[in-house]
Amino acid sequence: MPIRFESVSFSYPGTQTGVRAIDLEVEDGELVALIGPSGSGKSTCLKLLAGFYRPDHGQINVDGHVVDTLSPERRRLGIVFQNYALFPHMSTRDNVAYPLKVRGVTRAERRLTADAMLNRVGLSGLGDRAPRTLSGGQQQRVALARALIFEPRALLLDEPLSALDAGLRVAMRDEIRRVQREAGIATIHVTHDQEEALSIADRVAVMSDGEIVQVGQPDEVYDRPKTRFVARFVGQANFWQGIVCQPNQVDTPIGRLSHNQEGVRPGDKVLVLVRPERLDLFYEDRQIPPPNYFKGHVTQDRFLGSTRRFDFAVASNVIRVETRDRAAPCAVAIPPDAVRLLPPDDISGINKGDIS
Amino acid sequence: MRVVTGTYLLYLAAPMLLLFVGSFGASWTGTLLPSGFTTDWYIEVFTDPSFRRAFETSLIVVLWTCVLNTLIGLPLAYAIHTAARSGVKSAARLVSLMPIAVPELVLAFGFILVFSSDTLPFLGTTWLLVLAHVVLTLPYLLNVLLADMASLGLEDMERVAATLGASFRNRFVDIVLPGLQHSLLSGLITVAAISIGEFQLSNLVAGFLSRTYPVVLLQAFYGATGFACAATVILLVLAILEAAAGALTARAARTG
Repeated sequence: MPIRFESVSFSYPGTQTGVRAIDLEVEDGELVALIGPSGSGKSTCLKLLAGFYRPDHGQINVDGHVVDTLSPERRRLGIVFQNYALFPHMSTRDNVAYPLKVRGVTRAERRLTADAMLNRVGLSGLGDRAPRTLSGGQQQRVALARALIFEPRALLLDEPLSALDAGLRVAMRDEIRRVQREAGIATIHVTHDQEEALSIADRVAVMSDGEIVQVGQPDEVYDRPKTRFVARFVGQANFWQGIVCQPNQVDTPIGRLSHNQEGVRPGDKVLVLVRPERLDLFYEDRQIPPPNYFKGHVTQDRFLGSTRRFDFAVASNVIRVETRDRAAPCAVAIPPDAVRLLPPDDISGINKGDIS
Repeated sequence: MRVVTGTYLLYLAAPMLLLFVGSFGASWTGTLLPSGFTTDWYIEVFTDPSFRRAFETSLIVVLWTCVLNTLIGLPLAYAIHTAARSGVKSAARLVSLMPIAVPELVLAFGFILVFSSDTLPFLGTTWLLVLAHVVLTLPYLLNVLLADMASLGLEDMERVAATLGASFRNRFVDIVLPGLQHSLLSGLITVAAISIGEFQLSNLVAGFLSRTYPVVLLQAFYGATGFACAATVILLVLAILEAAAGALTARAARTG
């Protein structure tokens, strides 16, 4: 197990901010994305792992050894920062070769290895250029090459794509994933971009207020979020307060909904979650309506290119819908398996309540 | 607007032009401009033993001031920059800026009090002069270095270097020093320019045999006008050279 956080807590001196009771494991070759809004503690986790700060409680293991007393230079972890922090007075090749230089590798060997590494990230032939003459995406690759050249025990990515424009970001995240797979290295990727996290991570850890709220595979976190916060953070959502009335029925402001989630009892207060893309749309009224069928009309219509997002007015409430269709429906239906019941908002925390 | 600017520039430049003209004039008494042309004044300045000695003293003082500034300023700036607490940072900054705020006369008086005592009888030595110049010029170097450190993003680079396996020594030699070379150079040129033209403090602290050029220059004003002009022009040329070098390195630092 290359990386293991064991109930790690840390607060910045003189403040209440930091992280609390972090438990996280990353396996060899696995890419775990730490996501959360800014200030949720995801970068702090990375800095603790890198050795810039030391945990107040708990410990961090790398390859089975506690690293908390080691200084950053002795942890052998490759890090890519948001601003890349390339050394401006060195050539691209010297930047990539720097970890070998401080390890006493000969000049000729450094050159060979660095050029091979540049080749691996698709930058062959650019070794003599100064970093500032490279494009943002190229600088990002240089930083990645530099972080991998000394065969680190793990790779840490701190918002590595946030300085790139949208199109390049998508290309670069696939690139990062490819290079990371090739290297077969445990990786922690910190980002506030949920799409980026869901698309490249093996597992996602959602952070809020210094705690990890939920860890799971991307589709699991998206489909079965544990809290309103997680549900909102990883995607669009309809939320309604509800009360379970029968084992498979829940009363909500838009009406009674069938669901097939287990572990709830009649009388339980719940938060009902429905992802907007899970709805079925109807363009003619159905004589025999499917479950959770609502007639209404489109109020707000937002065309986003590949999809449309519209508000569907039902009685005095609104259902948010996302679809590829172009026409306006006259009715929508929520498939029972698209209805997720979460703990209600007035119960804070994740493990209270028996809903999963 | 143009007239005002022109007048102001003329007002600034006129004394310097007059000095220049005067330094080549054979005689200059009572008239607006001197008459005759001669280079004798310069030859006289160069052959005057007290001026030669003062010139040498000035160069030695400038050189050592720069050396000591580098040795003290670099580590100090680095320490201030990396100080964890912002309180330490601002305190260090404030203290290092004191010599700029405190009148030189006060500083000189302090020096005289301390170093004319029996325990520290160093008043009048060249070393004390160097020390005085260091105290006076260090804040300027610190300012330049600290500003550069902040704009370079040195912390991030050092952090990355640390994770890549670089020891503190590696980081200082490979990352910090090369990063600061331009600002160190332009800072030192400022230091040299201040040191070479410094009068107030030097005049009070220097011994008879360790007088700097500007201190001796004052004596020239009581003699022949042409001689005084030539001696002043020499100082002026030195100062202009320094300023030009400073501007050039600053530009090189921006583009490089």
